[in-house]
Amino acid sequence: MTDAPFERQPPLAKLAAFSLLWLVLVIILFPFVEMISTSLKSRQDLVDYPPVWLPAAPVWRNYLDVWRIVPLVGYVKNSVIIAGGATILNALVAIPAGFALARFRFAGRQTYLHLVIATQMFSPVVLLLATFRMMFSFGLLNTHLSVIFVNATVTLPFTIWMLSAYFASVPREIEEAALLDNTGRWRMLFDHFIPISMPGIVTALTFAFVIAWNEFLFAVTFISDPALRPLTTGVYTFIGRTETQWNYLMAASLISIVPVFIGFLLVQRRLVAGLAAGAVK
Amino acid sequence: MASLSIRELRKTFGAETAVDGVSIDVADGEFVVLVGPSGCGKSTTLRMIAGLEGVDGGEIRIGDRLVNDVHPADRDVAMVFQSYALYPHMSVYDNISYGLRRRGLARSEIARRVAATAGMLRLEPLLQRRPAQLSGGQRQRVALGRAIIRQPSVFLMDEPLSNLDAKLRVEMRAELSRLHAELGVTTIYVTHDQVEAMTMGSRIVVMNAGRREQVGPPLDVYHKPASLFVARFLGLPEINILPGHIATDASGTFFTGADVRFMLAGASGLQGAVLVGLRPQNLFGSPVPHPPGVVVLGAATLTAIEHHGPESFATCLFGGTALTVSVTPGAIAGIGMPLSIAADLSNPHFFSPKTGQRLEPPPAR
Repeated sequence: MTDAPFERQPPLAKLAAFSLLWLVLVIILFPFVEMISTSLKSRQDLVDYPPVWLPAAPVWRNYLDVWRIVPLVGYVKNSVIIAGGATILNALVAIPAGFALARFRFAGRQTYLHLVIATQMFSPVVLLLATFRMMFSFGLLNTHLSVIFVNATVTLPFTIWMLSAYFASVPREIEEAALLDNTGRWRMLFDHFIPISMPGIVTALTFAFVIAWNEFLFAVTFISDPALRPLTTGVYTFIGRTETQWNYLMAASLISIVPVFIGFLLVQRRLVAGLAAGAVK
Repeated sequence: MASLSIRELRKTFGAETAVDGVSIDVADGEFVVLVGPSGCGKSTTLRMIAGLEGVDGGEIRIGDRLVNDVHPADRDVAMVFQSYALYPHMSVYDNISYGLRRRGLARSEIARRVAATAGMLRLEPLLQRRPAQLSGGQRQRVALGRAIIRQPSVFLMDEPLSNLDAKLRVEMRAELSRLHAELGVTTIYVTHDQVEAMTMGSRIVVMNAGRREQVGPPLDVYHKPASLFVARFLGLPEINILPGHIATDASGTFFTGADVRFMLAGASGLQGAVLVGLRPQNLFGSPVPHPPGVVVLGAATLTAIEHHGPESFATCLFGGTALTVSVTPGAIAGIGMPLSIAADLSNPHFFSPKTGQRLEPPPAR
């Protein structure tokens, strides 16, 4: 599109725009490059001064060693359980809630929506002590359930809002046509609203999954049993009292990104909107 | 199939009255068109018949059954929406068959009916496609198929052709008329397009500001508009309305307006202030003298010309009044030229300036 013959942007402005884009890209990518470089360093490389940006002899073994040093498989499994559980809980609550908020008219609907979003205004740290007490009294400390519940609670306001907006964008005529076709509310949700809003649902649930996957604060507070730790707190083991094994920490962190990255690649096709095209002219 | 009867139907949205005591009777198998400008309450009336809007007053009967509080799915009506409202995630086959599946019909019966409907609408090659892969006309036919397959008592169509281009609209008009003749299902058709109303309905209901202005066969309504509104709404170009009064003296009965005076046949009849309506088709503008048999009204100046193909119309300034008149295209030289205006006074329309209602005219000369 930028090559359109009627493009009027002067070359200098174009150059400036691209330079800015590259700058932003470099800033975004720098931490990842640094992570990769550090993960391939030997113990000696880590303490060298001045620091070397790229190790002369990359230590690929680091990526194998971390599996031996910490129970990485267990961490990945725990992370999958926690992030998966929080995502399922999000789906179970946010889809019907979003549908009801988008399509039902009831007293206090707007207030309810505002209250939901108001809960997003609190920093998790503020809630930490209170939620810790709650988990303690429910006997949920040191369980995956505690982190699943809290992660779901933290992400639900956003997913409810997002799905409510998505469901609200489904043309009213489709709902009316379905009504005339003898379709009840639940059936309408499953037959029409969920399929039509699939890009939105996938986006919202991906958000919930990523937030839960990366969550650290609640996991480190609620889970002290090493066998139950997710990746985020698990790799924390490399930060010792006297020494931080940066190379292993970075290698483990990069490994922890892989499942999310693959998952994202798998669902990104779904993220492409436009499924609703052709419904109504 | 069933008849449909609406009695004193009312609907308000807050302080706004959308439908204000509308009554219509539709015979079994009839094709009735609700026509009127935007916001006249025609779509709201249709949606109340479908059950998509609640009824604030009056009653709706389909056959003998009062359906005011009956669920839309249980009214035995099928609706075609202006936007088609196809299910975008389903194939054409699934779109058409969805209503039957929801009603629990056997798979074999559904397949049989889909085949018959697709055949009727020439949709067979498209059954596996999604709506996004269809043209506007094809989507329109799928929307029709979804209604037809249900074999309902009443079809409700809400401006179903308004999203199509002009050529396709003409084709679909004929197609809809053919389908109605074939199926004989009672049909209520809503449109703001007077051409659709005139060509498709066995009767038309002209609506204005939530009220029913006039009901009747299209030509009757066109030739005998019950009100100023109907006269203005139906007919292209719009009818000319001249304010004035009728008075009788020794030489006869005359209409006198601001810039015109002409004789009306017969001594008795209307007297006093009136609005007279003359269709552009009954007024003629010519740069040369008119043939005998028409009443010459006077001279005017041409201000604009519109060619409609077989006929052309000119807007001209007649004294202080703008008139639209028929002209012969070849005879017109250009804007600003003088024209002589003549009228065929065999069918003038008279309306009360107070109420806008039709006044029965005295016989014309």
